[in-house]
Amino acid sequence: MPIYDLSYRHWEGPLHGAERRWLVIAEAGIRLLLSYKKFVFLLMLSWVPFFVQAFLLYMIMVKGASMGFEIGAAFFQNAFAVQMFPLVLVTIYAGSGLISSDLAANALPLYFARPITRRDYILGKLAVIGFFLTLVFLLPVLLLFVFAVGVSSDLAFLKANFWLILPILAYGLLVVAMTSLFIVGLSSTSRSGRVVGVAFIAVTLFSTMIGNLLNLVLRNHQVLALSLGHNLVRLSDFFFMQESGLRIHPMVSLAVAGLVMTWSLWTLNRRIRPVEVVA
Amino acid sequence: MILELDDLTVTYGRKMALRNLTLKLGEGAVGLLGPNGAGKSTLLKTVLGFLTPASGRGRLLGMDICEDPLAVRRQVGYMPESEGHIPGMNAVAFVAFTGELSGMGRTDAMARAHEVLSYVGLGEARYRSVDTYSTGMKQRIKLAQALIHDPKVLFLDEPTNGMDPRGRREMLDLIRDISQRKKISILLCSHLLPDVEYACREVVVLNKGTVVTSGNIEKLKAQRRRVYLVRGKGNQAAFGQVLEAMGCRVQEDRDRILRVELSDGEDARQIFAAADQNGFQVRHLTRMRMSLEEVFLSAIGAPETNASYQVADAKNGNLVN
Repeated sequence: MPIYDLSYRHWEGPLHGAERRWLVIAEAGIRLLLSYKKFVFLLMLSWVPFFVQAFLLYMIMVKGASMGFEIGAAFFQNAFAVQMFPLVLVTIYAGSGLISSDLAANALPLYFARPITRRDYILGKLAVIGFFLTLVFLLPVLLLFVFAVGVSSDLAFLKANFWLILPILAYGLLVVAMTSLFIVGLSSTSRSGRVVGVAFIAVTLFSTMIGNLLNLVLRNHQVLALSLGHNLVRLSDFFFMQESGLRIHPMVSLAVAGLVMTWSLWTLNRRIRPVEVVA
Repeated sequence: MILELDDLTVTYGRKMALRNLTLKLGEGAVGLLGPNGAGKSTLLKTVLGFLTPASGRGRLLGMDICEDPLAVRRQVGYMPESEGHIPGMNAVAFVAFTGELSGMGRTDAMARAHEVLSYVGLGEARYRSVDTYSTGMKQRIKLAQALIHDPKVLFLDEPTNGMDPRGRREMLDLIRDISQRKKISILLCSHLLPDVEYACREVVVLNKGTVVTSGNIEKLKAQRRRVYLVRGKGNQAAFGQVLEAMGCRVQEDRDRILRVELSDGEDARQIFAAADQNGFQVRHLTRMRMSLEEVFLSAIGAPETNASYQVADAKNGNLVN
């Protein structure tokens, strides 16, 4: 008998349960994206605004420099606005090919020939983009807050601003969840990641353009509810309790966000199938 | 029993892909034959839970295919017909990933991926991106990913598609080795009859969503009516007519060789008796072996078979149905 049999051998090791399957998809997706140097560079660039704002915060809170603004709700709200650009870039880079590349490579039958469900698959893909969006959108602002608490000389800052942790988490998570669902939903509609990326930009820009145009023609601020961007600004004002220049009811903006997420889930449910059935 | 299907019906909209299919398959390699659109791939996809049957039941290794599809998939390795891979991964990462999806730990899956890639002959190319693979290599990697979790049953959908003769032979040898030496049951779906004949002992022939014949290939070939090739001296046309009157089917080819298909319960003595009656001198008589192709064509009632008989019979001035 050979010392090492190079032919087929049976395998009798343990198999883990169904609860880990989505995590396998998520881990593989994250590892794959991190293997692209361009993407890692983009992630690093996304953190540049954090360091700039941390420096400003340090100068104001420790050195007492005057910058024309204070460290409070508006500062952290603005930090989110700054991170919006990296959020869009990372969404397009990491999200547009998540499902479309699987569709192009005919990978779905390979996934679903395994003991995984559609829920596992979608959850795994959402976790990939959710992880990176949290990394470039929510985490920098959260760390800024922690940094502010850390560099403040006493507990006065924390006592005055402890409530900010809630809007930071709520707004950050809402934007991450909505964007993740939207790009994954869009990604399931085409076999081309480029098409998905263009569609994402188009929907975001066109909704803003249409909102602005109708606002000009009708002179009615409510029509800005058609714009994804304006709704996010309105929600940001609402969560951070800031005076808003937009006369859209925050519940309308929340409903728009809900609508986007519902459309994405409906699309995913319709598009993610192990086989395409043409009746 | 590996697979039991009971009155299974699957529809695509109004089109019936599987029609009240009842089937029992034992261990070993079974070939699933049928013309395009017969329902071969649909059958595999239904057992895997990709498609929901409109009616009927099915069990794989005792597990209900409708109630517990995840348990079924845990025991099955599936090699789809179409090209497919997880984009962006090299071969070993891809195969290991499919192992992880099946529930293997990461380290186990990676070690096993190296083993199965060596087994299917991709050991040297395992660090290459799957996107750069040739068609033959893609077929092999599909087999590797189907084997990664050591399934009890393998579903192979057209495994030799697009392979050169050498690669095809190697693939069929692998399939034979897996079923005969590794004791993994195989359901081989193909429209290439020689492939099925080489790799399988049993065959199921589907046509229009139903089973038209099934069983051991050798037995099926033997069950068919016996055919003899006859050449001789004398009035061959008259001799043929006498044979037809005795219930045989007779066909004369371009080389004036008679192909005589005997009626049930008769043997070669019938030919000699007819020859004796007509003063026809038999100088050459060979028994023709029925090929799987003929079994297949006969089972699906292919028009070519009937047509050839009709031409021959017309030649003899005796057109039969």
